[in-house]
Amino acid sequence: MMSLTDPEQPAKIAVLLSTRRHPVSALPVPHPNDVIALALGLRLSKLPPRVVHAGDPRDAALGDYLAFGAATVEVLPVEPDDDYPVMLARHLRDVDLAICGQRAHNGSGMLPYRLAALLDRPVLGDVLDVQAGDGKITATQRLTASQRRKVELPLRSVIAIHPQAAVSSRYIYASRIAGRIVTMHSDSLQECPKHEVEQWRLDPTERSAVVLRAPDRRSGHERMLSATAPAAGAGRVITEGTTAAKAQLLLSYLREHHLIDN
Amino acid sequence: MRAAHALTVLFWLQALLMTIGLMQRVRLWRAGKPAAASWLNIAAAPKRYFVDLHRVVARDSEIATAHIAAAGGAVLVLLLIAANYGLALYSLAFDRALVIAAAIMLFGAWLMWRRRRRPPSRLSRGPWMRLPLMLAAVASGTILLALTAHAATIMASLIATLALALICIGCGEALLGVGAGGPMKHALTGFLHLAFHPRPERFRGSGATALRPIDLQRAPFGAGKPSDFDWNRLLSFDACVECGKCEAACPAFAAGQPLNPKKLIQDLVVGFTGGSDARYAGQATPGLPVGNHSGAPERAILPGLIDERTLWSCTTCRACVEECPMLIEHVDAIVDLRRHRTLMLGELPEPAAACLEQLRTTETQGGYPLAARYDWATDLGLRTLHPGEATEYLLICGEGAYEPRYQKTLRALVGLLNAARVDFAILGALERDCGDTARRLGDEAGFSELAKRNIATLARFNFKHILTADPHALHCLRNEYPALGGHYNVVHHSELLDRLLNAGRLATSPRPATARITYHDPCYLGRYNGEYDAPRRLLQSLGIVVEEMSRSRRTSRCCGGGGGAPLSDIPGARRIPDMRVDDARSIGAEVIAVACPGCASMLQGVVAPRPEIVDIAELVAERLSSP
Amino acid sequence: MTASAVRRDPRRLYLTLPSGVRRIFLSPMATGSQLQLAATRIERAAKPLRTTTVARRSLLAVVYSDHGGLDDHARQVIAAATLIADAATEVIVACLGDSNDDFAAYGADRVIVLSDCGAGQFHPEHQVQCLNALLARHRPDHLFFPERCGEADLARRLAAATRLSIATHVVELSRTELAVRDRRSQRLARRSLTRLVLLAPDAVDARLPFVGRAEVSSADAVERGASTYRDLGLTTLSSSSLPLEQARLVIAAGNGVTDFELFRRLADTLDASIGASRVAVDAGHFSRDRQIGATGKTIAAQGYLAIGISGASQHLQGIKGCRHVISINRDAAAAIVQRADLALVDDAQALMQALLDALDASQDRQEHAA
Repeated sequence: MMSLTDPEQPAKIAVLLSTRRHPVSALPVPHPNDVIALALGLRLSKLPPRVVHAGDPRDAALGDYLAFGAATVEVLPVEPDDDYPVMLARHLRDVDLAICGQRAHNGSGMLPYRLAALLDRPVLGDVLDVQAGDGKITATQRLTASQRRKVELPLRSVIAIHPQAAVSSRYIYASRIAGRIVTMHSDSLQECPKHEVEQWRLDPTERSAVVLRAPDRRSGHERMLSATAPAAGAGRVITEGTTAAKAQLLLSYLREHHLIDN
Repeated sequence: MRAAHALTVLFWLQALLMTIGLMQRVRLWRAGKPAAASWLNIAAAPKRYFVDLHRVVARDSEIATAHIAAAGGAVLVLLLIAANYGLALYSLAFDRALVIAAAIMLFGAWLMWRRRRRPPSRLSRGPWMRLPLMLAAVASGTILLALTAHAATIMASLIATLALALICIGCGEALLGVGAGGPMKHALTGFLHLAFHPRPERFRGSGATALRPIDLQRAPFGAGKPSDFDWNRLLSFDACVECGKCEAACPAFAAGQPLNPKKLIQDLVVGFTGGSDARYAGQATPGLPVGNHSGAPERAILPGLIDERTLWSCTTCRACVEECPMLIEHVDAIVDLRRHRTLMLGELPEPAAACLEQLRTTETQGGYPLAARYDWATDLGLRTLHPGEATEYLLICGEGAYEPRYQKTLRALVGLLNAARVDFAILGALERDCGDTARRLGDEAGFSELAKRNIATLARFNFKHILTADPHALHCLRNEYPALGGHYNVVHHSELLDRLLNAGRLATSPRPATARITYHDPCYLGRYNGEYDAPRRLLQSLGIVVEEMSRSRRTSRCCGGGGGAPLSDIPGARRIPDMRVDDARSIGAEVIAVACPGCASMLQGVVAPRPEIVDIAELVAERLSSP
Repeated sequence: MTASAVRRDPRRLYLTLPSGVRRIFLSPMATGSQLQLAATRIERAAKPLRTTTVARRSLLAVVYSDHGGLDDHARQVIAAATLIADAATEVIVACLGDSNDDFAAYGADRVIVLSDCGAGQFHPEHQVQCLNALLARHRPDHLFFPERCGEADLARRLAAATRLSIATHVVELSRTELAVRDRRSQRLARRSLTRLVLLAPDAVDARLPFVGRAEVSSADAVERGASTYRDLGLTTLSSSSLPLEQARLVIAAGNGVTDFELFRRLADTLDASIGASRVAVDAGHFSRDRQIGATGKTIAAQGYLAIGISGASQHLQGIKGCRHVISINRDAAAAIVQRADLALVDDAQALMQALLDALDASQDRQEHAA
């Protein structure tokens, strides 16, 4: 993994950041996936990469990104109905490699693909590692927990980093107070096209998702039996039986829940 | 007459050389940052020496006697020589006084020599071994000279010459000390340290244990190289006499973790004077042989001078500071080093960094929801305070509220408060972590942020006292929040329960315990806040006889839970809580009474079989008479 | 007089099959998979076609095949399409890569196998073009994909290229609307169906009471141009070589384990990552980086096997995020039993050996059958 080392023309890298509300405390915090993307971007380039955020310049989480190593965070102020990938694409026209997190922004994971389509560049997601050199990059993609694919693509691409990429990042307070958050002013930006805000309706209370399944055609008696039977594997304590039988039960449990392959 | 003149010349020569030597030493201290100090402080030094320092030294009466004799005698000798020979008074009366003074000094030197024949392992060898002989040389030389200074016979002249030679040896040692950092430097550095002590509030009574805030807008933070310390902290390191009492008290050292407080201080001396630790003659840091570390005033302390694991092994228990006769503040130095690592480099053990992250993002150490802090009390009908309402006691539970075992303690406490009809309320979901762990790990910024938010929250409510069962929260809120603008009257539950029992507001049926019970003093309640008696009185009024461990009260051995040490988890030959439970086992205790959630958690983590760990609130609740 | 009635031990070990039927263990050697197979065979014989009406509309399910077959998640996606479809809608399955699976059983009405679009050949531009061709030819109302690396990437490329509406990480689906988990409030957010739908695992139950026609169709040929990407090949890591925090299955040893050689063999056979409680680490049997707990690593594995671990609160903190916790402990009152989804009370060594024997036996049976 290393530097894009053409000293005549050092590669221009940009890292795109998003923020979120912490799932437990609802406080504004950096998105962990983007912290990793930032760490990877910092590791890749000798020059400090451009760090860009589309959102609210007063977001309290942006200061934490300074602590994670961003010397400057450029903020493109956006409204909720702005089609902000268009703004980002305009802003990143001159950039070579654009890096973002896989599940960042609104979590749909569409940003890198839209950005790539707008910039007319290749895109690769679920990236764990990037090595660069000679106008090209080699990315290691995560397919499943144990499967990896190596792909070579041009330097001028968009890559989305998987949350399990092995880069370490440190929170450094001194970096936080040395860094700056810069708001890009609207006169340097053109008018941003609006997009239709998606019609999502939020449930009033927390509820588990209901699994889609075929209608139950069993008799009432059968349904009652299966409803009153203890659910497989839910808090069962097995004391009786031979050791061999218990081992079988364990094996069945592992197979049923796809914890082992055979 | 000639010998006397010679002594006069020698005196002034020595004075000159000592002054030069002292200035050289001062120059080394000035490598540190400027810190406010007034020359008037020197006037404060004698009182601090005779009262505060001797309080510490007097704990060991044998050495106290030896030192009073040797040092006292030496000071008298010096003053008398200065008067009689320095000012050329040449009075016979002074000569006779000189003999007496020198005799006292010789006696002290002899006591010290006796101790050095089989010295305790905590004492340094090397140049310290010759010190009693040096003192004896000066003392005997002075006696001889005082007797023969004005004699005229050849014999007398010869003896006088010999005496001068002996005195010169002693002077040489003193010069070596001040100029080159030999053992005798401590006479001057110790004295000046008392004058310019970085924590002068120590001398105004107890409770001077709070860390001080720093300017969080101006990097650099903490100490990364020796020159980052304030100059008077460098002076404090220079005052170390390598007695090793800190080392003998340190729980991490005893557990074989790579921390030796004495070596730490000596390494810092090597740091600001430059050089290596090869000539260190005391016990090494466990696992780190002597001779591999070196430093310079402008060179980073970690890892070349002090190992990273040393830094994170400390539990901030203050046993070292409590024992130190030179009043050195080891814990302050460690926190300064940690501040640099955390705020400037973000380099700290992974679990500790994760805890700081959780404090930043969820305001709890374990990443829990604030609203769940009082889930253990949903059926107890606790009153949540709202702005505008008043209460007498505001109950602050701390992080222990999220732990199942400690929740039982809290339930017992609430039961007692209700039985005694105490007017109390909680903040509910508005209570956030006090920031103690963040501060001890060096995250001053995280601590400051939490403290500011807490102070703003508390300002909205009307309460007379804060009640807590967590000594860490107690210390933080009582001693450290005032510097940031929050002034509260904070009470530990042992103190309140003791008061309630005395006032008859809690009806208990005292009964002697069926098992042997001992009490473990929490570091943050005992050494940090001077509270040793209320828990004991409390247990006594319950009819419990408290069996004391040999290390109790001021010398209580830490459980290992403070300073973020369980997070850093630096390996050692043993675990600190195991050693504390061994202390209890050695007196046959079957129950260890605790007064801190950290202690409860650490001691409970010791593998069975072990004594039962019970909070004092639970012991009181067990004996509550039903109405 | 009546012959003595056969007394059945009501506490016989039983297993609830995926089909919902309960099977009591008659013989200790009966394996779960055998029982499952038997049950499936019985069930399949009786299923009718989902619909016999002529199709006027279609739904397209796009899945990659894995070693010639479709896994559970892929089958769920196909089932989703069949459960959403009405009588006049056919379910088309675009199988990327070869497969000789029984697509009728999965509910597919039409099967299009795109042999040159398999997971092993990375050519996203070509695969998007193939999908575009299918879109143009069949005009499905909705396209369903599983939300996982291969298909997730493809679906998003298609969405970015065509600007069709897309919903990702969908956890709930019905004929009229879909729902995703809103990241801020952790509540469900609903909307009408988008053109492209990416289904999270286990949002759908793949068991169906009907079968599909499984008519094989071919796709219009799409010329395979050059790719901007160069596929440099696939590698597979052994699950036990992954760091503990990323392992899918973790097996941990505590005070109750004495035969460490047996333990390691079991871990190897299960391809599980090795962890340990603090006691076992302190005793020197494992290195500190294997320690699980408040002062060690916090893991969030799919499966966690705690062998001979009592479950001190610090240890339980370390496994807070584990989905399935199985404990083997001699003491039924150990704290970990409360946390475990399945707790087996027995001697650790004996049970580990029995498990290893059972695994070896089933391995032999598989090799024998193959």
